[in-house]
Amino acid sequence: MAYKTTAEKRARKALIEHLKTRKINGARIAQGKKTVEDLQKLNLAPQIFLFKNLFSGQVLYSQVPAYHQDQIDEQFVRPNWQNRKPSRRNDLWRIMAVAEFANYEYAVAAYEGLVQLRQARDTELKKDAQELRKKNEDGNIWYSGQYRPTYSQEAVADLSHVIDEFGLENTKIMWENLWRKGEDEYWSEDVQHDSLPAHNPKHQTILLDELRGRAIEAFARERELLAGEQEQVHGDQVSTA
Amino acid sequence: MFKSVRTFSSASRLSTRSKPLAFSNLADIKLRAPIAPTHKNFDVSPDHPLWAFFEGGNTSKAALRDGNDITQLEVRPWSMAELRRKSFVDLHQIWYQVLKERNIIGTELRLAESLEYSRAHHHKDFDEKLALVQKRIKVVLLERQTAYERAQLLDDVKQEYLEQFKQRYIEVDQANEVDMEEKLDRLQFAVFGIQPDLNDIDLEHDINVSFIKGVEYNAELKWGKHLQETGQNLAPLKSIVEQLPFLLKDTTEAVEEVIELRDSEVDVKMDKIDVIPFLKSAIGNFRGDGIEEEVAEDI
Repeated sequence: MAYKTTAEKRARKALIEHLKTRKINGARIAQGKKTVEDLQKLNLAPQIFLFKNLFSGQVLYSQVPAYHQDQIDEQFVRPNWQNRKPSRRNDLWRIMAVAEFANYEYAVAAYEGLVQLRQARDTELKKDAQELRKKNEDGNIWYSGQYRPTYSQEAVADLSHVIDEFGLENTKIMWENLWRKGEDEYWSEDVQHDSLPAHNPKHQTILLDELRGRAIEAFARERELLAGEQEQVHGDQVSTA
Repeated sequence: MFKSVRTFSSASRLSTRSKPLAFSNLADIKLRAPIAPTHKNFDVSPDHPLWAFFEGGNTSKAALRDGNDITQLEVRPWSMAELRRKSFVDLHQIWYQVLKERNIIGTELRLAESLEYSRAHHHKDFDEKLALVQKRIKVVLLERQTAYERAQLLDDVKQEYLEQFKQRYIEVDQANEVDMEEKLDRLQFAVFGIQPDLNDIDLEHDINVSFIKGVEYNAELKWGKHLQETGQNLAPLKSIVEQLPFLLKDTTEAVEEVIELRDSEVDVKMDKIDVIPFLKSAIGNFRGDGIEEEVAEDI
């Protein structure tokens, strides 16, 4: 066994610490929960991005057009052999849907709600969730290879649940493929559905950033319209007074 | 300003909300069942090419036919004798018909495998018959190719036949003349690849060494026959310039042109390298291709 001096050992320890700090855990913009103010300061739109995992079928929610290891840790709280903690690998996560909300409060609330529902499915309401899932002959969640379609279907159900529960009017959902939306009966009539623009998966990040830009523009336009209306009402009130 | 507008409007809107923006008690939530995707959300074009993988195309109701339905079809593979009588185009069509059918069977077999369907052996039997047809088509084409390649090697036999034909052509009586002309047309096409109709000749691809030989042979035949009939004693044709008229025109007109050429004492010798360009331009001019082009340019 090679002899190591104290200095060498210390250097090695420092190196390991340094390497730990250099480890990339995902997009830094996706780190941490975003409040309404954060979203505005970062020039982000009132959107939620749903990424699906190509390998396992799990879905990751994000407030920004990117994701971080912290989000994976938060949204997959009790991993087991049927619901493993997914990898952060960039090539595995593809956009499944982008939900656009009427304002930032709705977007933040919807994200909170979705994460809470996900955690509840894994912890407190584990039995209820398991009962609703399609099983195979062995009584386990149906799967093919490592792929369990039930997880993405649950994410769709949770999204519709949150929208209905909080009454998030004027929501627009853009799907990667409209078939994922399921039957119309699950959605309130207020929700608009559309499909994402055709794109090369290679250019997913560009697409998402463009969607963010467009949503911000649309949001600003709406605010201006509202402000105009408000001013008009205010002016009328002053004149009548 | 932007921020103030936002807070103002959203505050006024949020104050009118009846529902809270958070779950009150997670333990009391009634989870929703997973929402399964459905094909009802999009339309499939009736012209979609993948419909060709189903029996009955876009009107098909089931992706897997019953095994008994397959046995009721009572089909047999094409026999070798039948296929040998078919032209290349027909064989091509049969090949693709069979291929389409095999694609359908392949789709059904794959489905039957995943469903563990018990009567799939009927599909397999049918597929074997179809595969046999494809094998036979390949064999027929191989036979034809082999025969063609062998025929290329039979040079002596070909020369002998051409000589015999020449004799017969020159000595033919008037009753069989038309018949003989037709035979010559067929021979020109079979041996030298010269199309019977001048307009069918592809100037870019058809004119080659074999074509030149054909022109030469054709001219020799007709010149020889003319000399035989008239009893004249004229020198044999010298070059392609003298031979070509026999391909383009009637024998009498061609003979007149040759005699005219000889009287004018124009030098008709031509280097080998110039022959093909000469043929292209001469045939093109005769057909009027060049004139058309010139007219088009003028316009």
